[in-house]
Amino acid sequence: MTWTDPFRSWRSPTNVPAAFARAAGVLCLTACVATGGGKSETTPIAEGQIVEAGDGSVSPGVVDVTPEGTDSSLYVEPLPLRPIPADIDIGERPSLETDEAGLWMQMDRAERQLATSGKRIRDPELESYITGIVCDLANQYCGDVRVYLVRTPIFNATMAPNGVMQVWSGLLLRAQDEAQLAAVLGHEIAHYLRRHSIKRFRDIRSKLTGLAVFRIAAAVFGVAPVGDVAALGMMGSIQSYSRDHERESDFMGQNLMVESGYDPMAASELWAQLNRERARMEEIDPDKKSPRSVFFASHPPSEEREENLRLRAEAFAQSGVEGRRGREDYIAALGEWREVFLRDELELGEYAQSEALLEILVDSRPEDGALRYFQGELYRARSQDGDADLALAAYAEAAELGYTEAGLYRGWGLTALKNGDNAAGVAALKTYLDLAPEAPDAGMIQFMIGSADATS
Amino acid sequence: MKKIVLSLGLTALLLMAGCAKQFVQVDPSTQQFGPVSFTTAQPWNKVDINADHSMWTVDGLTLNTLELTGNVGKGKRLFGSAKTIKGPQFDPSMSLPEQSEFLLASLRADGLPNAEIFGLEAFRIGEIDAFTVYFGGENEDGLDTLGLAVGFVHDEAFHAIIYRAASEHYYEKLLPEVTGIIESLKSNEVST
Repeated sequence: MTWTDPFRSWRSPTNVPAAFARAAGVLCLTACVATGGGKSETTPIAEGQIVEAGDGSVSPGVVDVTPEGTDSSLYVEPLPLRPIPADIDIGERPSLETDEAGLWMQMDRAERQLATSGKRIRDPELESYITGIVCDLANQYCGDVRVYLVRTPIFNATMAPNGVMQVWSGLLLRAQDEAQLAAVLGHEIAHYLRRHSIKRFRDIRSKLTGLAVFRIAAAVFGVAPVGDVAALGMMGSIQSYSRDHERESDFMGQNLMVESGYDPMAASELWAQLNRERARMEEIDPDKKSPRSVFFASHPPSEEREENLRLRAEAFAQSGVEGRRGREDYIAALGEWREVFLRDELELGEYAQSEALLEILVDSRPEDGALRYFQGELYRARSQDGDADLALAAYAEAAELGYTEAGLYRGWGLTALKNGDNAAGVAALKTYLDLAPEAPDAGMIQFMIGSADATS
Repeated sequence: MKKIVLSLGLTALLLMAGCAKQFVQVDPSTQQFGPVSFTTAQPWNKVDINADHSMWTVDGLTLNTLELTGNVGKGKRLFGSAKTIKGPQFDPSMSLPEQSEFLLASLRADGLPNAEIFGLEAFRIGEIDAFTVYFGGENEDGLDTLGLAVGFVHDEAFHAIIYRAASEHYYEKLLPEVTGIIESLKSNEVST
């Protein structure tokens, strides 16, 4: 059977990966996760989905999107609205005689370590919320994917071959709504459904021998403790191989989003936000040219991802797909963790990046006093010329916006003292102690008040 | 083959250069640590990481550790590591509460990701303003950990003595010794 590619007038047919050529047949907006390779039955196609007939014609709902005005240098095979079949059965484990089984065993062991790690965020409500999104996206594969929230303030999520998904707190902080988070979660699920890990593992193994293979593979898949220099170095050598998988996962993840009722444009918007963050960071501190995030390093250029995902989202929209964003639900679900994640972000000491991120978050939620407070905390920690005044202004804005957490007055007071305004500093610190008399640092704050009074 | 020979050669060179650290026993005595001194009351095992950083233990580094790290100057981190999260950089303009924030953030980056403060007090070592902080949390392996640290700035450089131990049994076991060490801290500078 053949299929019609809405982007056919624009893309070189020679660039079509063989894996997608095999996917010819039923086209649908859904991920068609249960199709392909004779693995399972085809997912039922709902009304309004794009369906291609066996003769290659496309149903009236399909729009032939011509990407006029698009920067073609950024454009790499968006493969719009194409079915991407799952490459694994529901509940499947590789048979013991395969190399894949050995990899799974290692990942199972690493999962046991991850489950008890201090980096794991153990909050049943938040875990349940995120797992619910994952289950919506993974559909029949819900039981095969296990989600671990990890307190690491870097934008990243990982998927191990045995279905262990790590969601790092830096991602939770940056996603502005449920749909944006779903874009990344869908991407990771796609890695699992497409068995990308074993393909990467075989590539790694072809470069290495011995015990190092499993250790490095574990780090690459994000299960072993990150920080192994050798493993990170090895990651660099397989990045180019993984990028095709990343693109495929982007598109399949976006399909999963649509199937779950999310706005597919959120995927592109997330990348646009990350691009903006990186550009602003480099503007603030031109020395920060190299991206810190391993996600940036191991994934395709994000301008390309933003563009490709936007084109696909537009095609979805033109065929009548609408979706939800879940903005307030998402912020509510994060609850107090959002401030923990903001604190962790500042503690990285990467002030240019944190400043850029906070600017974006404030633009998105200008009414949010907590974000102004953390801007104040950023300036207090950075402590460069003029930062004390910026911090004091940000604290004042936070208070005006109704932010009443005790920490606001602690930061305000410490900054005022450092700025030589003892009266204001003492007043703010006293307010802090009034609001949090049992604070663990109450003794220290009393000492600061006493010292300031003595020098006034 | 060429790579193997090169890596073996490099390993041999590193070993010859003394990069393989060894523990030595330290009997009860008075020890110097930058601008201060302290007294131990029981034997410890010590390994020097570098001139400004040593690690002491009685039962093994994963069970109880006394870490002495000093001369952390402007823009430097408390712990040198190749981890993903490197931790914040020191700034001599930090006030005492900010120094404790620096210490706690450094601990979070150094294997105690959810460390929290249980108590923070100011005190003095001679003429030097210092702080003590009690903290705890789970380490990256999930071991529940408690700790007590002292921090201070001298000559624009940060110094810290950090005690960390498994909360079950091992923290309490050495707490009297560590408390004694902190109480014995003396400034090397003679006040005039």
